Amino acid sequence: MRIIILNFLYIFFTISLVYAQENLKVNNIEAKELYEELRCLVCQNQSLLDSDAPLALDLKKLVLYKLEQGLSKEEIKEFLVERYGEFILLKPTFTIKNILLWVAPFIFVLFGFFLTFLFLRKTPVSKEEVFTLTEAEKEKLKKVLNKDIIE
Amino acid sequence: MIIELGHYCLALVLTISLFQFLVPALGVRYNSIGLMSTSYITAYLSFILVCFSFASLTYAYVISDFSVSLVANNSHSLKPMIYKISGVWGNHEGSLLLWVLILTFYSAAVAFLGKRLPVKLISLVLSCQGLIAASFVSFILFTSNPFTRLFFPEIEGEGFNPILQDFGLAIHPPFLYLGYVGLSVTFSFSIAALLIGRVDTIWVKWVRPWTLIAWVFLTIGIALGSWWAYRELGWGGWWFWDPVENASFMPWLAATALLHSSIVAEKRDTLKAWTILLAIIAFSLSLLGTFIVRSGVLISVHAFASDPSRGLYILMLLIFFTGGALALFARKAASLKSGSLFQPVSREGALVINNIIFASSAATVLLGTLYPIFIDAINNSKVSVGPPYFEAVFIPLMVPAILLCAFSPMLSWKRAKLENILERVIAVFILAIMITAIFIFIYGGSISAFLGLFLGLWLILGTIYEFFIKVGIKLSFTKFLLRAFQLPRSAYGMSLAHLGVAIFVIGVTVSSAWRIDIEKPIQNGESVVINDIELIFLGIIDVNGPNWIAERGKFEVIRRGKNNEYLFPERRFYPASKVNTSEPAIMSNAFFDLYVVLGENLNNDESYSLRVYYSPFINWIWFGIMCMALGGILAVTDRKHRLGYSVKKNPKAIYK
Repeated sequence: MRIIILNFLYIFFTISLVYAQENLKVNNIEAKELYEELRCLVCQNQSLLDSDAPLALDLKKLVLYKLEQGLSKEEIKEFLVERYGEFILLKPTFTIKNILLWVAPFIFVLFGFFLTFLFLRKTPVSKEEVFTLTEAEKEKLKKVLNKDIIE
Repeated sequence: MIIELGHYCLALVLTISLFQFLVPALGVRYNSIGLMSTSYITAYLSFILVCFSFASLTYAYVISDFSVSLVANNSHSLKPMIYKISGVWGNHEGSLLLWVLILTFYSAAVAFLGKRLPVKLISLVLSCQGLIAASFVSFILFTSNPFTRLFFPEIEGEGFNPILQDFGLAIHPPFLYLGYVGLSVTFSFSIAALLIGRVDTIWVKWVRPWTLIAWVFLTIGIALGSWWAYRELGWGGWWFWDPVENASFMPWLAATALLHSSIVAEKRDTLKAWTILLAIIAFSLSLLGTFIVRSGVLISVHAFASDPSRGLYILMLLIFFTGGALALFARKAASLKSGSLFQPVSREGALVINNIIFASSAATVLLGTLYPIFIDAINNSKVSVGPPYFEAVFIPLMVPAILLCAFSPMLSWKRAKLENILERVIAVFILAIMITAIFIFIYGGSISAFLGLFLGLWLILGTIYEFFIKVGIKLSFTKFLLRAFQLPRSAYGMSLAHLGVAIFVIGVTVSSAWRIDIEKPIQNGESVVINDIELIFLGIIDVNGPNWIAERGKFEVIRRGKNNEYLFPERRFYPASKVNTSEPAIMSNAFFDLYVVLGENLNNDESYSLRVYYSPFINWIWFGIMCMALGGILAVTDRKHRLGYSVKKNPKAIYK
């Protein structure tokens, strides 16, 4: 009797494995997006999508299962962060803690423009210095031009 | 014996490099031409000695001398000859020796080509190069000696990481290092200019070709690396924003900025202090890259054997060179006079925006790469900064750069009228939008696909249009050809490089937006259908390679009902290192790649797990990068950039 039960369990287990393999197909866009944003924790530096490690396969199964249960992407991420920490997120959270990371690129650009502004202001702007005539010169120019036309 | 000679030569190089650092510097201090001129000889001598040293290590690899610890740890007698040779730099010690070899090569090249330069300038440059060489040679000798012998020689080597046995990767480090170390030349030139206290035309004319050379090598090196990652890692991806990849990308971004700012410095005699600062930053970033790769402070797929004490030494070098150079810059930069002025709307202005964007991108990549370390140090928590972050911040940074790139070559120097330019480019803009819209209408696609395609087309059309304007419109056909023929090579170089960027952008956009992934178990005789392609599995054969055994799958590709090709993806096992690898098979052409990866045998029956990626236009990525590199080569061979060209007969007089 015991053997029969064990056999039965074994068969059930293999079938469910095969079924799970079938389900691992990346056909679900949401699942794929999640795989890309989650880190395979035992790999050197790979996302779940790019990993064959047993843990990655298990996590992929978990993600699919949670998606089938109707959880949203954010809920699944929260669930995983609770267990594995923020290390699992390849995209750092958009929170006050990581604010430096997210705003820095734009601060760099603004700082660049600010420096350029200082540079251009420090050096006299050529347009006014070189190309603008004073009132007296304009008068003179007018005279010369008029003269030319008359002659 | 040869190994010991090589070891001895390297020790000699340390002494000579210290001599090369000290004596010419003293010569400059006491105004002695004799002392200064020693720099030429020491530069040649170091190069010859390092060559010998490198050759002796290569010899040990070629004859598989397993009494040398490095060879025993990293090589194997059954390895194909090319990988035995590339194995010389496939490890920490050997790659540093290659680094020094290239450094001394550049020093010798500067000495050889710079005979007509002011001796004071060249002595200071070579002195700085000598200091860099001395610090790296001492690093090799004291912490990572490649010539150490084993007391009990091994009978067989331990082999090396089989995934690294690839032709693209065999030649990837030399190119990358030619780029990294090439930036040391512009760095040394900048230090020399700061010490002399002036940046003149000769200086700029010399720095520009060296920047171009370093940039071209760096570009090719990075492209080879990503090409390798694409073909070998087996996921169909080509860039992973991995710390080690970022380590090579940061100097590239800085070098690209330097390339553009040096144009302004050369043509308009302004932004010189900024150009010097960029040269310092670019080399510092390549030192930082060396630190990141060699210290193992960051988790990377490119897991090199690393050792914290080595990391510490490089970190000290980095702090010394960067800190020293920046301190010197802070003291002397104010004395560098800026030349002509310009309006915000002008070619200079556009190049400044290019510089702001590229410098910000380099800073962003730096921040993202080091951020996990900061957070770990501050509150002892672990975060990951991965591809989704970099894509989210990098694309918004680059979009304006590409928008600008299409028309800024049409802007005139000093000041340009925006209205004139708008009039010109509006047609290009409309045309690009229309073609993109038609394409998206036919094939479908997201907003990001629309944006990417539009940017690519906008840049292609803008670059072509600019080229026509430069040659002259409203000319007869023969006259047009004649004038086009007379354009300098640097003009062609710029257009080609910008076209390369456009091709790259299109490649990236199309290959990610229309990529198809299929992952499923497959049995003998079954097939997979993707668009108009049918892939039929014809079974497995066992194959024996030189140092591996493999299961090789046979797949027939049928396209539009006709047999096109057979594909043979493999699952290899390397007994020497007990490693399994997947060798993807790729059907490649100009418009798509079919990338087939054979997985494990499932449940011991006939079915295997299979992954197939269909990536349209993916080869445009590397084709685009090669166009950029080719553009750089065209520019560097331009007559006006030929080294030594247009320097007066007795240049020594200039600095006296």
